[in-house]
Amino acid sequence: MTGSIHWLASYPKSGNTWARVLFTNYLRNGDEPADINTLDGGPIASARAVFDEHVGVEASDLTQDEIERLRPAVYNKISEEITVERQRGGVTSPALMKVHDAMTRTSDGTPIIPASATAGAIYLIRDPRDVVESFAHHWGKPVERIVERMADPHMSFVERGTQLHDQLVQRLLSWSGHVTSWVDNAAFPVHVVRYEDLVDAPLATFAAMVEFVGLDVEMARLEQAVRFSSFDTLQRQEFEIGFGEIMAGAGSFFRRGRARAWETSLDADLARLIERNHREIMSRFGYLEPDTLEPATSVGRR
Amino acid sequence: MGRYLAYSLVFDSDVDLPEFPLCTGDYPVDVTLRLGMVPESIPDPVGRGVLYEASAAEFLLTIPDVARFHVVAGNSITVEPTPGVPLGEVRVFLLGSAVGALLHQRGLLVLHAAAIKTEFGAVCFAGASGAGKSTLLGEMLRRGCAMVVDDVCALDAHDGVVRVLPGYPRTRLWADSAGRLDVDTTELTRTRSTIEKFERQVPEQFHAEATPLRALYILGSDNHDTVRIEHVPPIQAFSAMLFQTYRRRFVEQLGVIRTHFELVTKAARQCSVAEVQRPAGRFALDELADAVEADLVDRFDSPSPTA
Repeated sequence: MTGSIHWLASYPKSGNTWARVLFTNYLRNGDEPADINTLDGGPIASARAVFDEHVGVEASDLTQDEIERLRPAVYNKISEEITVERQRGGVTSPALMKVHDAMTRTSDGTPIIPASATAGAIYLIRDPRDVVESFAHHWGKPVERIVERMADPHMSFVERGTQLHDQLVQRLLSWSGHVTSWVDNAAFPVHVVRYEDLVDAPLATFAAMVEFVGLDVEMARLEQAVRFSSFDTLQRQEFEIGFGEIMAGAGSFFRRGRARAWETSLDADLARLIERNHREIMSRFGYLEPDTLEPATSVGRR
Repeated sequence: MGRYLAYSLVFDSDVDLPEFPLCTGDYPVDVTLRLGMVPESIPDPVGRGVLYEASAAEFLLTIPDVARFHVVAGNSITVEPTPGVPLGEVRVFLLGSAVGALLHQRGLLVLHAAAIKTEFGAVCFAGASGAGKSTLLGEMLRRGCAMVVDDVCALDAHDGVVRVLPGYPRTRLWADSAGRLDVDTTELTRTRSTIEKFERQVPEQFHAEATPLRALYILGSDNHDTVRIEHVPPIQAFSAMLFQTYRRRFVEQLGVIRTHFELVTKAARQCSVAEVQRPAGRFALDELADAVEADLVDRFDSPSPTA
């Protein structure tokens, strides 16, 4: 049985918000760029409010294990409600939901993102050497620390502890572990999108995403969506009206939107360390020539 | 076990409720609370959440490996604890969603808010989990205010005036907030054994009377660096307040939408509603409390509530 949610899944800082901007502009098909503060595809699957609303008690009164064990049921509930709405003739557009969690299992063996809630997933992947810099900037932490954390299979985003955050703890695994947990899971269809392909060939890359979620690809609409989602447009909006999803003190969210920026800005030793830590997945997705530590000179395909 | 008074209701309970004030005097019982078997499910549920079922007549809540609760007609709660679970853990959910459902069933307006008593009436702090309601309450307590209730805030209309009903003198704090308030958590009990959240009883700072609602501050945070208060125009006050309902989904599922809407309408007309944003990056507790106090003085032209 398939569900109704199309996940927009990614490791943090890998183009998830950009994908949401593209989809929002495509779906709304308006006369001007969609407001970056009212994007489709939210709230994030790990939003505390989503959990609390569907469960009937607050996550803040539950242990970490209890929360995890209940999350699959939350997504099943959401999926059911969308199905009911669709049967009533309500929602017809794809139900997109952002998620950063790795596809892990709860302590009773259930995948945290259940197949029964899922129509499919778009998995966005980005060169970890670029992710590192973006992550360090977003979080205000030194790049070395992020490199370490990205190699740590026990890494979680939003640690639980002595105060409350508006998101639940998200287990990310290592960067490599995160990728394989989604991409190699056989429970539902996964469409992999490289951030670099969105930069280099946005029309073709986004067209495939649009098709994947069951929408018709209309050229004029596609072209406009890509134009309305250009980094210049996003940066201008952020400057003029602000962007609610940025972390306090981070400067700006929409920074460069370029691929391969790491080549000129990341410390060479750190780049080599990332390549060593994640060689297999990086080769697999065209970020390294297979079996060497040399960076790929052209974009390869999986 | 015994008789207790909370939300202006007399509870006759099989279970000790140390958070609730004892009921002295012989009054008719409003709510009976019994230990016993709870049905597997309810007939014809109107709504189902992950852990609950609700209909116009009944509410059923299951907390795996902790307890199950059956709440009926606003006057009866049956609790079936899992053997071996400390009753303190059972009470977390009893005093939360179970009592919340009961109060909804009774046609009260139930908000997710903390309330203090001030010179000019009750002031409520509402907001999502983690917005800072209990922490701000803690700071106002530190500044000398009395509390009316924390977390599950019930209001009624009496002679045309919407009043916050006295809950009970307990507030809860995360370890971080306790630190900010200089509260020593070694003296306090945890709400649940593995969570860094603590219970604090403050009977000496409890205002045990129904108090007219004067102001509602809806707490949030954003990525600016200062505390900002923005008044909500009357035309938007209804929906702003409605969104702060305790367990919003319960209202329709329990069949109490009409009375709920009527009370929100009256309440929104009677009080001043404002949205407060604090910096997401830091709590800014002093600034937050100062801003609220200054705003109250400004609005109502009265001496500071903690003067």
